This record gives sequence, C-alpha cells and structure tokens, in this order.
Amino acid sequence: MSDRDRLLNRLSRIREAKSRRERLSGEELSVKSLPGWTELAPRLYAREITFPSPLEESYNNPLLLEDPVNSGDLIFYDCETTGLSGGAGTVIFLIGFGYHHDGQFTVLQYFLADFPGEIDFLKAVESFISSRKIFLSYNGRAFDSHLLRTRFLLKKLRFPPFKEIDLLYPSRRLWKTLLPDCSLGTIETRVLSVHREIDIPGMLVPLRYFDYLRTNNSSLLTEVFHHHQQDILSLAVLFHQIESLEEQEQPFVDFRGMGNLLLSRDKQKGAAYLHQAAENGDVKAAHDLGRYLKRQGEWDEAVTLWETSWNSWKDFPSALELAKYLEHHSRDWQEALAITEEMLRVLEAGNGRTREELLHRRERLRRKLSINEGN
Amino acid sequence: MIHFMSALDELIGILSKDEDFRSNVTRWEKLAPREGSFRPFPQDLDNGIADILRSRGIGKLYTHQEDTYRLSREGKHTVVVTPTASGKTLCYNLPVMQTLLERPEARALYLFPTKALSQDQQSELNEIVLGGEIPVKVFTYDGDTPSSVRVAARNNGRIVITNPDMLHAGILPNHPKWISFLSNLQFVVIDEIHTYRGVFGSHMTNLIRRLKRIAKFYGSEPQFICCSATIGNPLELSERIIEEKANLVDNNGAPSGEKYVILYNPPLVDRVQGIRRGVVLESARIGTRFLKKGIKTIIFARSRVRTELIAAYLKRSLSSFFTDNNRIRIESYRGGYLPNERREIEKGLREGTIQGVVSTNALELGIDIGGLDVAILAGLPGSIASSWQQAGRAGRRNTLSIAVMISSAAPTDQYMIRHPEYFLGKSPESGWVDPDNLYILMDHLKCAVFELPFPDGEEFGGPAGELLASLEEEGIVRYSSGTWYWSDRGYPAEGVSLRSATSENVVIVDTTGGAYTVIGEMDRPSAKEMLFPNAIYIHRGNQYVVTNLDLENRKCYVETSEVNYYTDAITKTDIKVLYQDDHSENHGAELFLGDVLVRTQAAKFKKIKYQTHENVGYGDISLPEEEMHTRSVFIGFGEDTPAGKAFSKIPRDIREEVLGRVGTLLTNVAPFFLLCDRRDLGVSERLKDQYIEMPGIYIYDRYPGGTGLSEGLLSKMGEVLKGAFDLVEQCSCESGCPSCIGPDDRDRRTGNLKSTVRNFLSFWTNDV
Repeated sequence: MSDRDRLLNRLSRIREAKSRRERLSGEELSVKSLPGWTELAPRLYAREITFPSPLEESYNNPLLLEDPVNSGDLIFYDCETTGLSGGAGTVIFLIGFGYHHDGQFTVLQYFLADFPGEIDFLKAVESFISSRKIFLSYNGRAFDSHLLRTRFLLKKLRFPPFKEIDLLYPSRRLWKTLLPDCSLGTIETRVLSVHREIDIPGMLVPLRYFDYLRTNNSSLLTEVFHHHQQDILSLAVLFHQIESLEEQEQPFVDFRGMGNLLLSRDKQKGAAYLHQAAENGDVKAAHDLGRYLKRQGEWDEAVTLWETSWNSWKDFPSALELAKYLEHHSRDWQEALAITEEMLRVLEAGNGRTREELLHRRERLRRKLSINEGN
Repeated sequence: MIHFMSALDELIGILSKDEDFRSNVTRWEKLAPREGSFRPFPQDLDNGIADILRSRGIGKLYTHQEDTYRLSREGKHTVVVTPTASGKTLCYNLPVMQTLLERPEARALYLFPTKALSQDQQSELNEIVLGGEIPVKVFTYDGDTPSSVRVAARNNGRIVITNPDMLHAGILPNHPKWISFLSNLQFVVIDEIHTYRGVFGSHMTNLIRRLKRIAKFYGSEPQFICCSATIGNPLELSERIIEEKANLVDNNGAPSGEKYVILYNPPLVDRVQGIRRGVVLESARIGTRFLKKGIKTIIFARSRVRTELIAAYLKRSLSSFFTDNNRIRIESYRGGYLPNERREIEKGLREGTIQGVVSTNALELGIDIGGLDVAILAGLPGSIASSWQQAGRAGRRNTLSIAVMISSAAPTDQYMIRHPEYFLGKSPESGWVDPDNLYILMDHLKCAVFELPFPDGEEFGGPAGELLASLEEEGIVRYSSGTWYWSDRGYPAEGVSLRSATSENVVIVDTTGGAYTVIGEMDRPSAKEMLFPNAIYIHRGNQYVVTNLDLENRKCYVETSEVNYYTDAITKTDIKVLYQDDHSENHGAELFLGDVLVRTQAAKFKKIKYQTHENVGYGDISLPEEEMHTRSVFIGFGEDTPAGKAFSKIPRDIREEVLGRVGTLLTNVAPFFLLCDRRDLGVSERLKDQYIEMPGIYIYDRYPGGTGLSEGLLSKMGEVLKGAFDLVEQCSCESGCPSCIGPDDRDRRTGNLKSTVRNFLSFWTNDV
C-alpha cells in the first residue's frame, strides 16, 4: 500500500526530492572522520593496517602452487559489493589486498565513498593488480574476480592479467565431509580457531552501505571495514593452515581429499593418504587410488587394491576394474569370467542395468573363450 | 494429393446441397484462388544461399519477400504483414543471412513470443545453415538451454533465438557477458508482433527501450524486422513497440488456393429459451464428416477441456466406423503437454501419420505442422486476427481448402456470426499498447537503471528525471554528481513478470496401479478450477479422476477413470475494498479509486453427462480461494448524483438486470480508450455494495497489482461514458446484442433492456 501511495502522490514528492537533491549536492560524502583513511581522489579512500604475519617467509614445496613461492608474491584479496546476485547493477564498493613483508602482514583497503568515484577506484585497483603476481581468494573465481572484470568492462577499462588461486576448492576437498558447510566463517571457527569479537553478517553488508549513502554517516561502516579486513587476514591464516597440514601429526582433514590434493605434488604421500582413507572404509578413496595407480601403470598395486576391496567389502566398481584388467590387459579370460560370474551371484536382484552389463560381459568372455578353444 | 482434393471437392458439393447443413450457414463465401506474384532473386544474394533455396525448390521470391529484403538491406526498419503460409521466415532470414555472411562480426537477435516457436525456428534455420554449410552459428537461448551451451551461445552465436522473458530477466541484466554479441548487434527480428498487445505489448515496448539503450552503450544501433499477422494497424503497432519510423510491406505475393469460408450457427434446439446445439458436439459432428473421407482436419477449441472432449467424441465416432481399420489417427494438442509429446504430434501432422488434430490456440501461431485441408473453429477465438490465423491453418500452397467457423452460444460469437461483413470485410481490430503506463514504465525503469546508470537528461521513452526522482524517494536509486545510480541489493528483473503473475505450475502425476508417471502440468489458478479432488481430468483423450491436489508441493495425483460424466467448477467472485485513495463526484457519479482484493473461489462443481450434457449431480470443492490484489474503480450511483437519480427511475425488480447490462456495455467500450484487451478488465456489479454503501459497478484491473488501467479509466471516464451511450444509441440491433449490452434474452419481465439502458445513460450523462 505504501508503495502505491508513493506513486500516486508522485508529483508532490518529486518536488520534495528535487529540493532534497539541491540540498545534498553541496555536501560531500566523507569518511574523513574515520581513523586511518586517506583521500586519494574525490570519493576514493584508502587505508593500510599492519598485523603480525601468519605466513612463513617462503613455501618451498607448496600444496596449492606449482613452484616454490616467496610469501611476498602472494596477494590475498576480497570484495564487498552492493548485492549478492551479480548482474550489471552490482557494484564493488570495498576491495582489500593483504600481503606479507618483513614478517608483517599489511591489509590495504580501497573504499568507494560514492558511485561517481568508481572510475578512480578501478584505476587504483588496476595499478595495484598490475604490479603483483599471484592472487588468492575465497570463492573469487565465481564471484569477486568475475565482478571485477564486469566493472572494468562497464567503465571501458582494460583488466590486467590476473592469476588467481581460489581457496574454496581445496577447502571443500579437505573439509566438506567434516563440516556442515564450507563458508569462510565455518572454516574460521572450526578449522582455524579464529574468533571474531566484532562482526556483521555478510548479508547485511550491502544494507549498511546503502544506509551510509543515505545518511552520510560513515560510522555505520566501521563494522563492515573491520569484517572485510578480518576476511582477508583469515585468508592468509587459511593458506598457511593448508600448507602446514602435512607437518601436523594428526591433521583435521578428510584423508581422501588430502590424498587427492597431494597426488600432484608428492605421489607417495598422496597415495599413502588415500590408502589410509581406504583402510578406514572410504570406498571412494579406494576408487581414486585405483584410478591413480592405473593411470601410472602400476598394475600390481592396483590389482592388489581391487582384490582387497572386492574381497573385504564386495565393492563392485573395484571388481569391475579387476574384470576389465583381466580381460583386456592380462588377457586371463578364464579368471575374468570367474569374477564376472561371482559378481552376478552377489548382485542383488532388481539392479537391472548393472546386471545387463554383467550379462553382456559374461557373454563376450564366453565367446572369446570358445573361439580360443576352437583354435 | 489428388485423392484428397477430389474427396474435398466431392464433400463441398454434398454440403452445399445438404439442406440441414445449409440452413445453419449464415455465410457461404468462396474465396477465389490467387496467383502468386514473383520476383527473381536479388542480384546481391549470395550464391550459396541461392543454391540452398533452389535445392529446396525455391527459384524466385514472392513480391513481399523481395520488398522486405530490399528495404532491410537499405538499412530501413521494416514491418511485413504475412498471412499464414506466405513464406514468412524467408522475409527476415534472407536479409539477415546475407548481411551476416558479408560482415563476419555482425549478429542478430530473434524474438518469438513462446519457447515452442523458438524451437521451430531453430530447426528451420538449421536447414538453411547446415544444408549448405553456411558458416553462421545459430543458438536458442532460453530457460531450457543448458549452462554449457549458454557460454557458446553468448560468444559464438551469430543468430540467437530467444523470447522476451529471457531477454528481460536473463540477457539484459547480465549484458556485460554479452559484450561481443551486443557490440555487433545488427538485426532484431520480432516475429508475431501482433501478439504484443495490451499489458504484454506495453512491457515489450519498454523491453525494446532497454535493449536499444544497452546496444547504444556498446556502440550498436540495431535494425528491426517485424512480422505481423493481418491486423488493422500493423505499422502503427510495430512503430509503437520499436519506437522507430518503419516501412510497411503488405503486398503479399504468395499464391493461395481456392478457399471456402463457411460461417455456421448451430441450430436452435429450444426456440423458447433460445438454446442452440452445443459447439462441442456440433464441431465433432462436422469434423467426423471430413475425417471419415480421410481429409486432414484441424479443429480449434477455445479451452483445454473442450479440446479433450472433442477429441474423445471424434475418436468414439470414428472407431465405430473403422472398427477394423485404424488408419485414421486423431490427437489433441494443448498447453500442459510435455514438450516431447508436442513435438511428436507436430511431426505426425507434418508427415501425415496423424489425420486429425484438436487444438487450443497453441497451434495457432506459426508452428510448422504442414498443410491441412480443413480448419474447423469450434467457437470463435477472441479476435478476428486469431480467427483468420486459425482458418489459415488449412490450405497451404495451391490446394482447395475449407474453413468452417462455428459459433458458440457466447454473446460475441452470436453477434459475429450474424454480422459476417465484420468478418469478411477489411480491417479487423487493432492492437494497442500503452508503454507509458506508469506501473509498467516504472518497473522497466528500475531494470534499466540497474543495467546502466542514467546521467541527467538521458531519456527513457521520454524524460526520465522525475520518474527517477520518485525511485530515489523509494530508496532504490541514488542521485549523485548528475547521475542516477541503482542503489539496492535486489535484482529488479526478478520481480517483474511480462505476462501473468503466476509461474508456479502444478505437476500432474498418474498413480494408476502404483505407477508414478508425470503426464502434464498446469498453472495454479487453473488447477484450482480444473484439478480439484474428484474432478474428471481428460488428458490426450484418456480420462482420469483427481485423487489428491497437493497445492503446497504443487502436485496433483490422478488415476484412470471410466465414469460417463465430466466435471465443471462453479466459481464466484468477491471484492473487498482494502484502501480507498481517491473519491470524487464527477461525470454524474461518485467515483472511487483504490486497492481491492478480488477473491475467486470454486466452491462447488457440476457433473455433466457426456453426449446429453445433462447435469447429473454436484460436489463440493474445499480449496483455498485464489486471491488477487489489484486496483479498481467503483462507479457509484450515489443518491444525489445524476447517475443515482437515473438509477432510481428504473423499476426495482429489473435493476439488477440493467446493472449487469451497463457493466457489460462499459467493459465493451473501455478497452478502446484504455488501449488494452477486453480480458484485461474485470467487472462486478453491486445493487448495494457492502463497503461503499450504494449501487454501482466495480471495474478492476485483472493484472495483479494493477497496471494503471484503473487510473486510466478514471481519467477517461467522460469518453468511456460517452462511448457507451453512442454504442447503445447507434447499435443497429433492436433490443440488445453482444456488441452493445449483451444479447436480448427475451425475458418478458424485463421488457426491452436496451432502451432501458439507453434511457438510463441518457438521464445520467445529459445531466452532467
């Protein structure tokens, strides 16, 4: 009803709006009252805050990167936006970059104090990005960097080359099975033991910004700035946590996820984790390991694994791999037929498609065997 | 072919001599065949395209195709009027393909009103593109497009086929993803532009405003090619939608075969009460005559229920005839069928494995179903343009064809069937839009400012500053340094529907014998009227009974059933005034404007026996009522107003009748002035309203939330009343007909209602 009233009494309020506009146009929005912020251009502010660094000086055999890295080359970044659904009308009003230097960790924040400052805001971002190498985010691939590109495009600016590592994906591998969700907040409390004293739920961030724009009361943003800074600091803590998991005696991780993550860096260690997971009864880990061994051509180990999986918990995919191996690789059709028939016996009624496939396989093996005998 | 033609010739001969049949025919019109008029392929036409056309048996173009090609190639916006079967798609595909071949970066956007039409068009284009290996990639981009294909469509699609809803909520709000497409957008094709009338059309104009605005941002200025069915004002309607000067091409060069148009009014079965034989039975009876001769026939019915009923009757009457010969296949076709079922039927019709189809207007628009010989209209569709489109489904190319238009008992049908000149003369009704309807405009302005900020002075179909200021007041737009910015975390397109407000469909599940098979779906308000527990539901000729309607989980469970009746819900409408925001005495009456709650409820249903249509029982429906919050005007006949005084002169016992007729008259007139469709307005008469304590008439907007029609009505009240008086005064009928106050129902008690209504209006308006 109030929407309707507003429209019906449009004319009178248009007059009000005009006068209000005139009133506002003289006033500059400002965050000068907030400590630490410097005005770089009209409506563009920046501040730097330094913390003790959670990072080591360098990581020589990192899990998340291909080559050894000096921590000084890593930039942890995050954005706060006016909406969560994306689209051309969603604006980034706060971006922060965290970096390591001399045992310190500095968070540099750029704040867009009002929409007309966006071009200066993006230019500042561009010059920072251009001079740096590796960017780390949490869900940045799907959201933050995507939105950054959109904003650059809308202002007809060139987006510089950007190498991004999104910590969300490894985090999912490591903790998805152990946590209710993989939001940064949950990871903080359950994995990193980070506890925030002042905070604001992410959902409320856009509302605070709009309230600030309407009232020009920048103290409304204190919690937002703090929240954002904390997010970036947590990213660095999270990175260090993942990189030091291997050194821990009993790391809090999903062994299968850890194993898969390790495979590309250290095959033996990765396989060991998968083995451990498989022994703990994680069938999927056994499948991952089997697939890995197969790809490596380490048939003996693979066969042992499949046999164990089949014998100890009647795992069908493993038996199927075994049958395939026997038929196509070692060409032991007799043995392949034997295991196929055993699978058919074990198979419960009603599993139509698997049964079809097995019958088909049995038929083919019998045919091969009979041709062979004919020769 | 020869066999069918002669069978048809023979049947026309029989019908023309059949006195029983002829006596019900109000017009027997033979339209002479027309020679095609042709032009050679344009000189600049690519050889590859020309070769493909020749390989498909096309060696020259119709005049209207060539005109459209030439005008489009000259860079002019073009509107082409295309009757059914006149080679419409080549009108736009040729200039678009030619330009796309010449300019490898150029892109084209095709807009169709429905998803089904997009799919049809995609296969048509594939034939041209793949047939000759022409390097133009065509993609359909709609709600069904998998996300993996979407990226390819955006980046590589030279022609992207979509619908307005997708453009509105999917493409424009995410325009940066479409940069390469939009930067090179050269053509926008709007097919079936006559469907964009009223509310939908008003949305469409605003959508095109947004599209042009974004295109301009990326440096392109697309050229429009619009296709319209034969309506009174194709150029005017198109120019209002694209808001550009355009050129009209209406020199249809396509040949047409000889065609009989037969207007048929079912015979009276009860002269005293004026009851006629039902349109369902009558059309099934006539349809059977054609189908028995093996003549390919389409029957258009006006509702889903009727579609199923007619199909069932046809199947029954044919199965007794061809007991041992099943070669005649009848299918029904309507909304609610699954897409693959529809495709299967369309294919059967094209390939000739299906001889008869009973359809709602779902098949009226250009879906390719090949040539049919006979079209039967079981009841006249809402507009003359639709009638002609349906009739045009019979008789592609050069063959003889017949269209039988059977009137129902509905007042407008009866009026039209008795006034064939309205039908056969030129200039049927015209399409109108009101793009500056405040509500629709504001909704799209929100979307537009989300898409790109508005600098001072930028227009949106006119000056936008004041409107943006009111959005600023709402707190969703911010003005800063001479520019208006979107300043809300919402995604405005999400909350704006271009069509009806309801998108929640109920899924229909067949649970017969423990099965769980999804057989169709239906929108929620319709489900309440058709899928209530114990309702008989007919789907593709099979009969089901509803065992449970679970509205919360949007599921309806049915089982097969074999009863000998069908069901029909009785709905009643109640209006509650929620908020009154204007009250004035003007134009001789007390006029109120406000928010109302319109509640419709199906509380009972009738069981109606097949064939005899007798009522064999009632049942209760206990479903929550359907509520709609909208805007309404109440025209109150206050005691001291001229209207009130005039009303008091009417004998008490016929006041209700008169009020009903005045309501009908006003809603017949108002659409002309409000630029809307008759169906956009609801009417409800009150002898004494319980909220506004006086007699009067509610006229409300049937679009949830209102679209400004009520405000429009209030501002046009003088014209509407004058128009109503003129209409009743000048109507040639004696005592009432559907074109004025509704038909004379020969009730002695009420006397001549037409003169009563006329006098009432005269007293009322002359006093003002």
